[in-house]
Amino acid sequence: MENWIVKTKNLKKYYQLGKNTVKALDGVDFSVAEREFVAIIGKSGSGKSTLLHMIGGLDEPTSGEVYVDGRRLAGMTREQLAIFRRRKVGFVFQSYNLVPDLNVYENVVLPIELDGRRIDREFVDDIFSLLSLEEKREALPGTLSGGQQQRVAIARAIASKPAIVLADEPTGNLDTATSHDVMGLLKVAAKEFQQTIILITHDSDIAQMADRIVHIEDGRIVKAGDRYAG
Amino acid sequence: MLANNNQSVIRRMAKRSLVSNKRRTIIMALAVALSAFMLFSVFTVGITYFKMYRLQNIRLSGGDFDAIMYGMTEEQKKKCEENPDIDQIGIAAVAGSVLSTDYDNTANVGCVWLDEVYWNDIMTPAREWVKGTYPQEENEVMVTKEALESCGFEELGLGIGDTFRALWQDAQGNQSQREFKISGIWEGYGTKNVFYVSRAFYDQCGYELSEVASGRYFMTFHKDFWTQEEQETFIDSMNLEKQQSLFFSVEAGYSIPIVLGLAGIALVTCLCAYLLIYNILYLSVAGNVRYYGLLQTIGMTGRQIGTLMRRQTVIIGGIGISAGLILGTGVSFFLIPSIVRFLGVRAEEAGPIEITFHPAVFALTIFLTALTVWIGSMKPARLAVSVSPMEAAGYRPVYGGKSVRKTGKGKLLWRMALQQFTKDKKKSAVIILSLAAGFSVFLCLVTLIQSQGPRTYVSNFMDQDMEIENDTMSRADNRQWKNILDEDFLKQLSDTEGVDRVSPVLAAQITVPWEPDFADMWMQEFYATWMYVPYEDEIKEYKEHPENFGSFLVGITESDFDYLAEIVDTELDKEGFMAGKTCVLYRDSLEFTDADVRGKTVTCGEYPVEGLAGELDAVLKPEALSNTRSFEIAGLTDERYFTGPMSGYPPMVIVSDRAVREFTDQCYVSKAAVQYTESYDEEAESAVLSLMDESPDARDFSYTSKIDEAKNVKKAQGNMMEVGIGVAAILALIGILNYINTVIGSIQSRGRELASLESIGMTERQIRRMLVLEGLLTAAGSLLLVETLGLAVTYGIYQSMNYMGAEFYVPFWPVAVMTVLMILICVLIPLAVRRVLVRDGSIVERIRAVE
Repeated sequence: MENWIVKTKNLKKYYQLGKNTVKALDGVDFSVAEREFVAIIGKSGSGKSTLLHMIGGLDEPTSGEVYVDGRRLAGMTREQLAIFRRRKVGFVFQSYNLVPDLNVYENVVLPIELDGRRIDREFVDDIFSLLSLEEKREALPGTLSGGQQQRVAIARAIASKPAIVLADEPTGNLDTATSHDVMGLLKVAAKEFQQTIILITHDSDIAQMADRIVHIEDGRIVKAGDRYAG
Repeated sequence: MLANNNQSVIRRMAKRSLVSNKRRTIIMALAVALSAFMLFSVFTVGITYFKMYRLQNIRLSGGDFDAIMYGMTEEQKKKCEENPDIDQIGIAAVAGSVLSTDYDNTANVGCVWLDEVYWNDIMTPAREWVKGTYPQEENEVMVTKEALESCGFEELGLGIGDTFRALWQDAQGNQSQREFKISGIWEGYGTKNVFYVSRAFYDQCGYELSEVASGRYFMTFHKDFWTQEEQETFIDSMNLEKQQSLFFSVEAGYSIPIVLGLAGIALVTCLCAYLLIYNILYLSVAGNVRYYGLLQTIGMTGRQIGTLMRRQTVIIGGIGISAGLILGTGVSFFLIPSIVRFLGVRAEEAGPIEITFHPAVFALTIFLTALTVWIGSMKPARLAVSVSPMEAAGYRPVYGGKSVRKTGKGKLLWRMALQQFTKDKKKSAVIILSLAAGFSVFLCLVTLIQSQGPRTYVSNFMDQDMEIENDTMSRADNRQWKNILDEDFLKQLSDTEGVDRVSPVLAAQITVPWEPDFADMWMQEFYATWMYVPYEDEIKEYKEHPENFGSFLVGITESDFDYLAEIVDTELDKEGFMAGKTCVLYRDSLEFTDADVRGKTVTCGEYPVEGLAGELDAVLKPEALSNTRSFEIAGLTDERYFTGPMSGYPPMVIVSDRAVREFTDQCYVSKAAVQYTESYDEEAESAVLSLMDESPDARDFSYTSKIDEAKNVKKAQGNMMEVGIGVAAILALIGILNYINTVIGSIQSRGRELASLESIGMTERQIRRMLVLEGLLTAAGSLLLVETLGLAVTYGIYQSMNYMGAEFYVPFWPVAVMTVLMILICVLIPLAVRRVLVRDGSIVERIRAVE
């Protein structure tokens, strides 16, 4: 893979839990190409979320390297990591993590505003229409259904034009029909706006929608997966 | 249904929950303890103050009464008897005086008859002991050690049953030698230079009970507190004659503002405590909604949850109240004496401060604190019960119930801070209120102390550093007057290092001969106001012998005139005054206005007698009779400074010092004001004092010094600043605790929100800035409240206590420090809390922790 946008080298994350050492990640070498849609699949506790957090700069590895869009995350300060996140990474969480007292629009443009950038209104409008959120611009998150909230989260992840979108079990709280809707939209949006997506799920049906599936088990990648066509 | 005894499990859970939420438990117990402590202290101070103040007043005035009236007509007496407010009336009536004895020719001991009510009821608390009985026979007297000493009998060892002879003067001024027999001796407080006589003695002394000069009626009331208005109504209802007067004792008069002040502090304390307790419980319930939901899921009923919470409240309340009472009892021994002294109880009269621990104080403190805790815990308990298990599982605090919100404008962080601040308006209001309460009390106390403080410093005339008086001028016989402040002495005084200026006041004795226009008008009013004999009876003597009605011509320097011109109501013409054409008169409390006297002429004659006029050894100086001088009256003044120890029936005439010297060389320097180059210069003061000490006339000087007065004021107020700051500090501490707790609660409950903000790229600095802005909004709200409502209440309290008419001003520095402190607290606490909470792990862990 030549033009990768995410690359990890021998990534390790050990926790001390009482007398035992938990190896959440145990030497992961992994890379994602630009505009690729990768699903990481594994059982609960396999280390898939930890891997995602390392890539998103939310957590620090015990050893090893993470590169995102040509940047080495190790050695960045907390402040630099926060700025890195708002410029390079868009997150979609299982529990949406929207700010409850900002309306939908404010939530979506929050990372851009935090960065002090000018909001590309046309772009944001495109996202809103693609995700069918035009009617909900001024609604507060608490009044939306789970599917709607997750669509807002996807809009927020894409609006700042990040290098990668990291989605951590985005359909975990949703029913099957809604899950497929949301995944469809995520995929369409990624294509439309030429985004790279790393998705975490334990649902193989959902994983099937990705370009590539990576299996992780006990902190190691057991099957890097093939690239699906299309 | 069978009753299921589940008390023990609930008890166990209540305990467990208190132990596992240590921080919450400690803060709550602390809040309850502080409130109980504050209330206990306030009540104890109040009760002790009243007891000691009462004792002091009783001792100062020699009896336990609420009002005193001088002279009483039959009609007024009837009115009093019909007045249901009046409990009893005791009489103390002047019955002449003992002028001299064989052992002392200036004895001057008053003779007073007391009725049974006065002797048995009113006076008893002011007496320490009595031996013998109250006089019954005409010649019997009840004496004190002091009165016997005044008569020069200290060596004789007189006791009950002994007799003594003395020269006694009756109402008409007739003097006669009488023999008195001692029927009893008493010791105690009040006027002691007095012989109490029998009714039989009074009946022959020539006085009437209705006369202002003799009959003094002491009233006690059923009611303890009288408002100013009630007092005025009562005084009006008595239809006082011109010479009569009626005073309420200080206790009855000024007790209401102090009661209100203490009640206000108690109320604010309760409010602060309520806010804190409510806030802690509410936050803890809101934060533990899932816990209560879980309890319901596993089958705990609403009633059981209610019992659980009540039990927790009882345990915390019990611990807090006990701790508060113990703390209060301990601190009271140190704190209360100084508060009570500051509030105006003096050690000489009241003796050592005895702390009063009334059982009612304990009961009231427990009741009020418990009530506060109970009310504060009611709503949170209801919330805990009302949570349904389903709600609890996915509970997120929802505010305002709004579904849409307009997209905000302006700076992002400000917008978010304001959002947070207005999200839960009630909580923000509680925090602002509780912070404002503590600081308002501080503002109030500081303002009271600072504004009331300086009044004593400027009580000196013209703010002079020292006033030196010539005491010889107070002697009746003008041959005993000496010019002890002569030119030599004044020169030495002005040459003293550190002394800037010396202003002497001249005085010459004069007559003001009768004339129909001014002198007659003055004397008429003077007699009406001050004398018991009618003017008509004495007008003939005044016309023929003005020397029996002496007064003084007072000469002042140019700088003294400048000050006088400022305080006189009308404009004074300086040129005319300094040239000796015009004069200013001392008003002597007569009901004259400037308009009544302005433009009239007062004529002064040189005093023609050496010695006491009318006495056998007095010498008439015929050449003085022709020396008169007239001055045009320019105005009146109430300033007593110029009159010094002298007095007269006709007016004291104030003119320029030059005019006095031109008029007569028989003039004296009655006093001199000394101004130092640097005010409060202790070295200059000691140089002046030693100059007086070295003078051969050292015993005839008296002085008042600004440095001494300042020291006295400092001494009197010494502890008050600390006590006041202590009270304010406790309230501020409650407010700050409340704030800390809310901030912890809010940052904790927003932990997930803040973590997700961080995850989407909000830097730590941005989060901190947002928290600081939230703090600033709280500070601004509190300050606004303190500086509007707090200031208004302060002004109200200030004016109600301001019987001295001191000017109201807010001290700049304490308020500036308070403002800065408040802002710092509001800004630093969120930062500190954030710092502590963030240390608890990475963003991921924090997002997870809430999930």
